[in-house]
Amino acid sequence: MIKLRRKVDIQTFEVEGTIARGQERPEFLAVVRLAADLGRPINGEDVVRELLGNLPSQIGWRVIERCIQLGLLERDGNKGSATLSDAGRKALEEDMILVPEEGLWRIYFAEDPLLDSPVVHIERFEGVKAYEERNKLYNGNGNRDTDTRIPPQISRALSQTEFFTSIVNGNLFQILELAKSGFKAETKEIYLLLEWPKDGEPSVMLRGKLNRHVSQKGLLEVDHKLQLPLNLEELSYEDLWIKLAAHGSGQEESLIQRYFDEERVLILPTPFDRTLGESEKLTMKKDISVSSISLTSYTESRVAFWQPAEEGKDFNLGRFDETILHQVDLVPMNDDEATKWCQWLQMQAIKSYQTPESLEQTRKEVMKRFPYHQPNPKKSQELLEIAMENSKSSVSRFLLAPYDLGLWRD
Amino acid sequence: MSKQYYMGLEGVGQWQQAIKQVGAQLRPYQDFLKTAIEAEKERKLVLGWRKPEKEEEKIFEERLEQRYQQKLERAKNARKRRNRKKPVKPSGQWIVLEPPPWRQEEPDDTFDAFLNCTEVYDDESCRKDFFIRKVDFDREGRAILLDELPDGDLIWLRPNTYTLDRQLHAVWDLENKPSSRLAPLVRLTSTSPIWSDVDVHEIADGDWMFLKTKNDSPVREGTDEQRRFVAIAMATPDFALLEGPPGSGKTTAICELIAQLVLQGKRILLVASTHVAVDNVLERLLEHQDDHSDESLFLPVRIGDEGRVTSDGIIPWIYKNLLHTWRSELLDFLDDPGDIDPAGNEARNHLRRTLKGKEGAASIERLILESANVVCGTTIGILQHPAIKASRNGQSSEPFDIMILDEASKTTFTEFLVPALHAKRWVVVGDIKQLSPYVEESELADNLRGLISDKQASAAVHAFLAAPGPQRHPFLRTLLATDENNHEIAVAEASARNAHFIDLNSCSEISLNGIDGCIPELLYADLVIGNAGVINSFEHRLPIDLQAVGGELPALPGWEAARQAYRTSEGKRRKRRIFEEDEPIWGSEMAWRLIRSYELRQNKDERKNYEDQIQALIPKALEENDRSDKRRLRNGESPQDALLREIRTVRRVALPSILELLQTGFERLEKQRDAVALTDGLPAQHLRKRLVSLSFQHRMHPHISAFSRDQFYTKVEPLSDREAELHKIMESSSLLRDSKAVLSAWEWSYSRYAKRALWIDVNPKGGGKRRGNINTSEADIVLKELLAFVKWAKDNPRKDRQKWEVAILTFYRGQESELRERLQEITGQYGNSRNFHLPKGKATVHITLCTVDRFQGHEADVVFLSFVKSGTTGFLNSPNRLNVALTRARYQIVLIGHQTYFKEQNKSQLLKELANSKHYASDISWG
Repeated sequence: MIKLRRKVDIQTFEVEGTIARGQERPEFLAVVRLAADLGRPINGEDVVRELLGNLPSQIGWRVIERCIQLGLLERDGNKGSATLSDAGRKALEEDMILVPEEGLWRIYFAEDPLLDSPVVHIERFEGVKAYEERNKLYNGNGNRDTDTRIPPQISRALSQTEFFTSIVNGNLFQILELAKSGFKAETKEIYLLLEWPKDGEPSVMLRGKLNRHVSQKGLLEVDHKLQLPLNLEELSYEDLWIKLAAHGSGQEESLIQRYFDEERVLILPTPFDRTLGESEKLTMKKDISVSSISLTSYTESRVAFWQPAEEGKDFNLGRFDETILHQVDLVPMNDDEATKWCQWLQMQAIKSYQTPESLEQTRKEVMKRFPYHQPNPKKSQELLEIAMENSKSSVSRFLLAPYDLGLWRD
Repeated sequence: MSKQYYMGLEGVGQWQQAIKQVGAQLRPYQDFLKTAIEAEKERKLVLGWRKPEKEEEKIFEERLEQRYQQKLERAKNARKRRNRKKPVKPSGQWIVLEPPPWRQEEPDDTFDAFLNCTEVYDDESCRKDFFIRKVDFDREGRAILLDELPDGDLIWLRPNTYTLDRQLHAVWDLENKPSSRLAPLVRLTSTSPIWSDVDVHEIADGDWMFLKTKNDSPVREGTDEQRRFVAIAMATPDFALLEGPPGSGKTTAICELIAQLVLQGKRILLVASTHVAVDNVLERLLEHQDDHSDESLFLPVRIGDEGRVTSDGIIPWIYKNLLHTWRSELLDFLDDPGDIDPAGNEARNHLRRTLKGKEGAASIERLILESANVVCGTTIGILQHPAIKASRNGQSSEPFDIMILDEASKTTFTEFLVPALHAKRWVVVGDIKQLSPYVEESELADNLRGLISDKQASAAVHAFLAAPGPQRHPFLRTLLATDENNHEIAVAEASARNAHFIDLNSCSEISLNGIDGCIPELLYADLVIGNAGVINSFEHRLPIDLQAVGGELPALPGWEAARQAYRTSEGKRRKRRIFEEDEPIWGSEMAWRLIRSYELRQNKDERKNYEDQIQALIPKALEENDRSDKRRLRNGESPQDALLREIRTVRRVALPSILELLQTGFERLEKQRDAVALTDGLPAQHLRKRLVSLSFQHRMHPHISAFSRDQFYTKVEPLSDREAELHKIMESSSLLRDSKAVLSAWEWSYSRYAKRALWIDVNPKGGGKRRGNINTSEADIVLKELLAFVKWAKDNPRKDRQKWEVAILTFYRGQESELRERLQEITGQYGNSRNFHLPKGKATVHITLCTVDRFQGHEADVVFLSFVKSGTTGFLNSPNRLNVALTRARYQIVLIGHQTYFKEQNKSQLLKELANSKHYASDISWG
């Protein structure tokens, strides 16, 4: 499993405005349903004939007009007729209509490449009384609370058509109109987690807690699964693993990639030297610490692990905190290294009295651990010679004793 | 926090400044309304009642039966079984509502409140055990049907503060939740506002709907002005104002504006102070829609009670009716949609389930209110709009694109604010030369009462009334009982005003003509002051015609017995009345003078008298700490100056209309350093871009409009810089110019009068009775003239074959009652109070009886105006009231009053000019 994490600064801006939130409006949903089911532009006469029979004719036209105002229908251009809009379709899916509400809003926003939109949540709040504000001003407090123009991240979100999903409750909302200035409140950190099981689908989560407006009690719990960015869908687990492994180990990415291309395995070529601990040499596995990494495109790469979503736009997962790739399979860098490793493993395997037959058995087993190399392991006689040369070594006695007892036969 | 709202407001300067300025400007409104609400809670509406005469009761029953039959018919014809339920015929005891015995001039609003209530009480406590259910009512007969007859002669209503509560809430909302669309309203309170330019919305010649051209030229004079107003109102980012004298085409301009806005898909809130103003517009829109059935532009909703709507065509569009009928109609259809496209089945089932479910009523409510593009009601009636009701709970609703306020001269700032908070832009229409908002005197009085301590108030008012001057009542003599706390103040106030008073605590007896122990001042003093013990010792020497006041009055059984004997003796009626008057209260005395001085604001000479009295009512011995919350004195200000400033603030808050505030401003206080639009009006250069004046009138025959034009609508020498600025804005030299068409339009063959405007001089001493506000001599003439007209009208129908409309107007409700009785008698229509028809049988004349105040917004072919007063001017000298009275008639106005008195008197220059005006000079045809 690949686990990547980073902090996301959620900024807040308090401003007056009109934001549409989901409400049940079955009477208008029926009109939307009609437009969907008829599958053609509808006009006021259609609405009266098909849905509101017996009511005055102008009600049909006004209902169409109202649905257009609510964004559920789009004007067709043909004398007042209208067709189903994306918002209308969405409303049918959600069984809700976004209805404009005027008031004071605390808008939570962040900049992160994995967020579809910078605006991640809105909370309506009631202000304290004006006289309390005045008292603060008269007492010399409050003068420093300067008004700020709307941050660009939020202005970009102002639209009649774009929907946002709250990371707190998953509800849809739409920012329709905001005053030009408001109050920049505090910033709070939450975490973005990208988790990718080896044989599963990746997921991107936001987790943490957000403050509410001072007049409101409690914290807002965030545990929200983000929609996967389109360009993440183009990325494979292996691509990302290779990138991380290379970054963590300092190994050339092309080398790791080559193993994957040729052998379809995710392994890390590693020099057989002091950098490896004894257990890592034995298990041929290692936890790889990956320092903070920015996963962005570099188009000159031979193997691009991403596919640009749009022409001219590079893939960008953003910078993650340091992480660990657990129990990465290791392989030697080449046959010589493999031979050294192999012979070292042969020696490590001698933990009891050995005969040439048992040593041969061990050799075969050790050889199996180097499927991608041709190491040259020691033969039993060579091992015996080494033991004879270093007779005081603790391993030597496991070979010399059986030899002295005549258990070694030609 | 509120600061976030203020940070988002444009054109109001720094938010820190804006929040302070809003607080400073709106606080007086909040204080006023809070006090008014408390006053209202104490003010239980009360009326007298009587059992109807047999004839009257018969008519009430007939009308009740008629209404019942209509309901029965509707039930019979209902398509669904659920609507076929037979209605229950109401039954009970009819009573006719009467003014309380002590107040003949009870406002119409009180009667309306009783007609609209659900229960009355026959005890002032309004406890449950005195509850009587109201079953039905007869508006025309001013009668209600009760479960049982009340005990006693009076009935009460529980206080209802809803209207004031809404206003207070609106002020609170503007201060605490000024969303960015409300920035222009906040800008009215700003000392550094930035007003945007106004573009003009171009409308192609062929696109006008109500202001169409005929043969490439406008239909009539003034159309260009109406069009210019529409073009400005369509484009204004905040306010547009239309100043329209009587008959100048305000309604047409409003209709055009609504039509153009609706074409743009806008939602409009139309509000006016009277039902007739709302319904005139709505009726015109519906007529237009009927004539152009292919357009189907308007989907109106009328908020209000069916009984108040002035046109039958509007009844189906009343909100409550729509709620009921649309749901039934829809369910009928959805239950059996007939042979239509099955692709719509799911949508229909969805809607059917909704309407039959728990949320059914709410759904149909939303469908109506959100789809409607013209929502309308009176300033009071609109408070029943679900969105306005819901705003009490902090719920927000989608604002209207524009609010149009008609008859804005009768709407105060806070009344305006209630619906205004639900809109994005505001169009204010009216005529500041017509009637001003109605102000409940007791609410104003209670607000004033809190400005000084009770002891100061009591001392000042009694000394003021006893002092020489025009306020001095010739028969009022007062005995003021004091204690050690207020005795000195009472004496000081009386002394400072040179009142004829005697201080019993320190008076000395003298020997007069050899008689010892005389206190001659006691015989002629207008004010007798003394503490309880001393008064007690004078019990048998006190004059018996004193009005005893003050809380410390001791028991004086001997004195009371002597007074009682005096009271019942013959020939003392006048003095007897004095005894029975309520104790004067400083707040009330100040309140009615403030109202009168406001009514006379266009009549500066006559106003001065009241301004002087207001000044004179200010306590002379006022100290800085005379009340618990110490008065704040500004630099160099005396306590008296500060009190006067506070009084003016109350006046500024309570009296002027929104139209007046925006157009001319009202009483910027001397010490207020910087101008704000709420006190100084919109800055002239910005007002110019937003205000259109309609200068032609199409209602009246030129004879009828002449006096008002000369007196009220022609530029005179400006009295202030502001007036000079306003004159520049008015393009025409005068308003109320006659359009060419009126001369030919109002041709007729009625030859009783040689002129279309004339005065019949009626001397009340010529045999008739005159009591209170009743003048029977004038009533005789009114009836005589009416019958002469009816006789002629019998053979001379109106051009359009409709009934001739005659309005009998008077300034006083007492005279209205007198005329009502006479009209009931000659028509035999005993169950009617306001509308009568003559001749009996086949009527050709519809007569409306009304007070002038209530008739604003109406018009009639012929107007008979009864002045009532002689020997005094009463409140006839109010230019606005007089203007309304004189501008209601199309063909003929006949002024009926004591012209000789008005010609000679010196109390009112305006009335003198009216009586001497050549425009009303009598002619030889009459007789």
